This record gives sequence, structure tokens and C-alpha cells, in this order.
Amino acid sequence: MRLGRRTVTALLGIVLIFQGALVCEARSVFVIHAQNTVENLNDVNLAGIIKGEVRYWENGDPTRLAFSSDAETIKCLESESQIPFGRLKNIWTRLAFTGRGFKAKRFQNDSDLFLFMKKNPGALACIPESKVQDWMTIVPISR
Amino acid sequence: MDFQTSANKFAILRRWLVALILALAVTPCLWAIDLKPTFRGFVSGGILLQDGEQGLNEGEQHVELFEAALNASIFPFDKTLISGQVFVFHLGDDDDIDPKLDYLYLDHEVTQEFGLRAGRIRRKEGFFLETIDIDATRTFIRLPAGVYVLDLRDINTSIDGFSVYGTVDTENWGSFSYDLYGGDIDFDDQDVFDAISTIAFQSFEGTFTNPAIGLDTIYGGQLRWYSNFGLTLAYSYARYNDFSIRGDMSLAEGLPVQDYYSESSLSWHVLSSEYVMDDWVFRAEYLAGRSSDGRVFLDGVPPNSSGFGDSTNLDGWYVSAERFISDKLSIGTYYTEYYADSSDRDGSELVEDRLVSNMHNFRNLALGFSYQWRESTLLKMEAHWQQKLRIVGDSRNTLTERFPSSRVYDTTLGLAFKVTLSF
Repeated sequence: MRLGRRTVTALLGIVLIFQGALVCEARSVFVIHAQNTVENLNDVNLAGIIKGEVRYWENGDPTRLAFSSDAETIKCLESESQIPFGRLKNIWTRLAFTGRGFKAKRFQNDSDLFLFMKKNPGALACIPESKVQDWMTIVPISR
Repeated sequence: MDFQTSANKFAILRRWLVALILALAVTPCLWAIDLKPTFRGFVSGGILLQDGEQGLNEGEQHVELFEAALNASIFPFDKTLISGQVFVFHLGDDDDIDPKLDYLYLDHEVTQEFGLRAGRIRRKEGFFLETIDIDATRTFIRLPAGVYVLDLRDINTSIDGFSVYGTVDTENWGSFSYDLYGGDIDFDDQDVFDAISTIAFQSFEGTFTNPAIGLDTIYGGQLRWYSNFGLTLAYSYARYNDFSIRGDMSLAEGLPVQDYYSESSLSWHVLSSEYVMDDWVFRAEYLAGRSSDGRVFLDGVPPNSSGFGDSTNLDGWYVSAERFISDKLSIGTYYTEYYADSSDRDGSELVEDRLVSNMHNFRNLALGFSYQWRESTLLKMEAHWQQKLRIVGDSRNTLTERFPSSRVYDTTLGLAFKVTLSF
């Protein structure tokens, strides 16, 4: 059986739409505690926070990066920093052992991540959108 | 070579106990005033295996390696950080595991573009000097020795002084960061002399006792450019003013002991580049060093008669590629070369005219694997092929006389394994 060009195009379109829907469903976002007054971040500052180069918020609180352990969140960190995750881990270890910043915290468990955010007012967490809580604010990223 | 040992195990134990008591006393106080310190640390053990009689430690088939560090950080005020780390390093049969204060500083960031740091701070040089002894920050166990010399870590990693730093973001041109520093170095004279003699002398049949190391000042800095497309470029500079070595030297067994003094100023330049492309990271770095205003004084010997006090240029470089196959596994390779005298790359002048340096001329090819077994456990394995210049013939290398000899290249194959636990 030979498929026509239109059929192939239509099938490809369906696959892409379906794939897009999956990505959207599993989309990861950056959140802060609602008491933190950050209104927005640009992509350069966000990459700087992920790499440990931007260490403080405007109000002086240290920026503490936390993230959940799912694949989509890790992809999101890689995409925002343009650095492979293995290399990011090296960078975070360097920050910790030169005293120049904090190692980003990776959480397997949501409740531990939420507790970390409540204890650290400067925490910025990368989590799946489906896990955003009432007391969190999604940070808009300007590009 | 006979050295006076400074290792006093009781003094070391006493220092550890005092540090522990202080830490135990201070920690609850910090918690009480809501300055909760963050602690981090690692313990790392490994082994280096070599195939021949020549290598890192001549005549040894394996060298054990142990490292441990503990650090603490607090934020006492807005945008202000106090951070400190104690580090222990042990290589081979050396029983001296004297802990060292790696850094302890106060850091205040006025703005992202300008910050100040004062105390004992670690220098930035190239991509890795700041973390030369922390292999958890990279795929490789041993850094390319053409640019990073592990034996010099006690001399060139930390300074007592200050630094200013900052990062400037641009709209279309990525960001620039700078770090400028100045100060001096708190030497442990014996440790520094041991490191220098390991590097400087391939064979020396005399004695050198009561070493005293001096340094007037050290200053320098680093400028980095982070592009928007994965490329990072950096230039680092360091200047050691009036670096001196004094001691009692006997040129050979049975000869009288004489006062020895040498002094020179050293300048280091490192050019660095890194390119990140998907899962790949490519790097190249080049080191150029120059000693100038050198002087050597030895009782009864005219200054600079050996040529040791002349200005010399050293250089080294490496290229590397790393691939992060998954978030747990990475693989990397590098090739590096080093020349103690860049005007004599094949060592021909050295045979007739120079003291024989243990690191005069070498090349090294490495292949390494790094696997994160659990969040806190890192496993590493690395293979090395190394060629190093050695002078054979009459091995008496003295400051005053020259002896006929010839040069050969020793080839060494090595394997290294390492486990690091961190928290």
C-alpha cells in the first residue's frame, strides 16, 4: 500500500500536534513563594540564576534553585541555561566547594521541595505546571 | 634528598580538636541568632596505577590518593556571605595530612556588577584552578598537567587578601565577568619547598635543609566573556613579585653546607576557551609563564653561574572533549603538552646547560569516565599515556658544574580509580 503525500503530511501533523500536547501537558515552570515580590525575570537573569552567577534577588535574599527530578524539568533547566545537565551539576558542585554560591537542590519528593521553598524565601523552583500550589507564584520569563 | 620534617602529628591533632570544639561551640550560637549555617563536604579516595619505573613517583607501582573537605556558609546580612573551608590532601606515602584552611572570607555583593571579597580567597585562573582539587566538578580525575600542576596547589590556589568581582550583562553580546585580586600567600615553607623540589629536580644528590619561602605580593585577575551561543572565552593573569627560596644547601654528599638564596618574579598568562554544543563540551587552554629578575646566591659561587637565575619562558596547553551521555554518565578525553623552557622544546640545550627539571617536557593523553552512582556517590576511572623527558648519563646536576649526559623519553601508562562521597 502506498500512502499519498497528503496522507503522510496529515499523519505527520497529527503526530506533531499530539507531541506538542504532551509537551504542554508536562510543561515545567519556574515558581517562587507568593511572599517573594519578584514580578518577572528575563531569560538572561534566569540562566544566570541556574548557573549560579546571579546570587541574590533585589531584596537581598540569596537565590536558591530547587527542582523536581522529572525528565521534563531537567530538559527545561538545560534549555534555559543552554548547558547539558551533567555539566550543570559540575557547575553547582563548583559553587558549593568554592563558597561562591549554593548547589541547586534536586528533590525526588514534592513535599520535601515544598518544605524547602517555605523555609527559604529566596527559593526559585522549577517544577511541572501540574504541581503548582496555591501559595506559589509562577514567574513570567520575558525574552 | 634530606629534608627537615615539619610534620608534628600531635600539633595537627591539637589543631583538629580546637577546630572541632570551636565549630561545636559556634554552631548553636549561629542557629540561636537565626544565622543558620549551610554545611557541605566530601571525602574522596583513589588509587593511581603505573606501569613502569618512571612516573609520578619514581619506582612506585601505585600511589594512593585521599582528599576531604568540609565547608560552611552563612548570610549574616543582605547580599553578604561568610564562607570557609578546611581541606585535607594526601598523596602517596607522605604521612603528613595537615589540614589546611582553603578559604575563609567575607563577601559582599553591592550590585551584580560590583562585589568585594576579603580574607583567604581562592584565585580564579583558567577554568579549573579554583577547583583544582575537587574532581567532582569535572569528568577527569587529573586535570591536564600542561596547564594545571597539582603539586603547586599549596602555592597557587589561595591568597590572603581581597578581590573585586562582577558580571555585566549586555543585550546582544552575552555577559562579561571580571575578578581582580591582590594579597600574599601564607606558605607552609616545607610543603612548598617539597612541591617545588618535586617539580624542579629530576635527580639531586645533595641536601637542602631549613627552607624558607618568601613572596612580596601576588596580584592578578580574570576576565571572561559568556556568549549567547555556547562559547566562553577567558584571559587570566597572575604576578608573583619577588618569590624567594632560602636554605642550607650541600651540592653533593660529603660537600660542605652553604647558604643558598634565589629570587625571581613570575608572571602567568592563561588563555581559555570553551564551547558547549548539545551534550558536548570542547575546551582548549594555553598557559605561558615567565620568570624574570632572577638571582641566585650561593656561598663562593658567582651569581647566576648556573643559568638558573636567567629569565625563562615556560608554556603548556591542552585540548579536551567531554560528552555528557546522560545526567549520570560522562566521558572525556584530553591531550596536553608542557615545556619548562619554550625556547628549548626538545631539551637539547638542557643536556648541556641546565638543571634537569622533573617537568621539563612532557605530553599526556587521557581518557576518563565519570558515573554518578547515587546522588552523593561519584565513581571515576581514567587511563593515561604519558611521555616525559629524562636525562641519562651522569646524574649529578649541580648549580656549579656541568656533566655530559643525553636525553630519552620515558613512556608511562597509568590507570586511576576514584570514589567520592559528598553531602
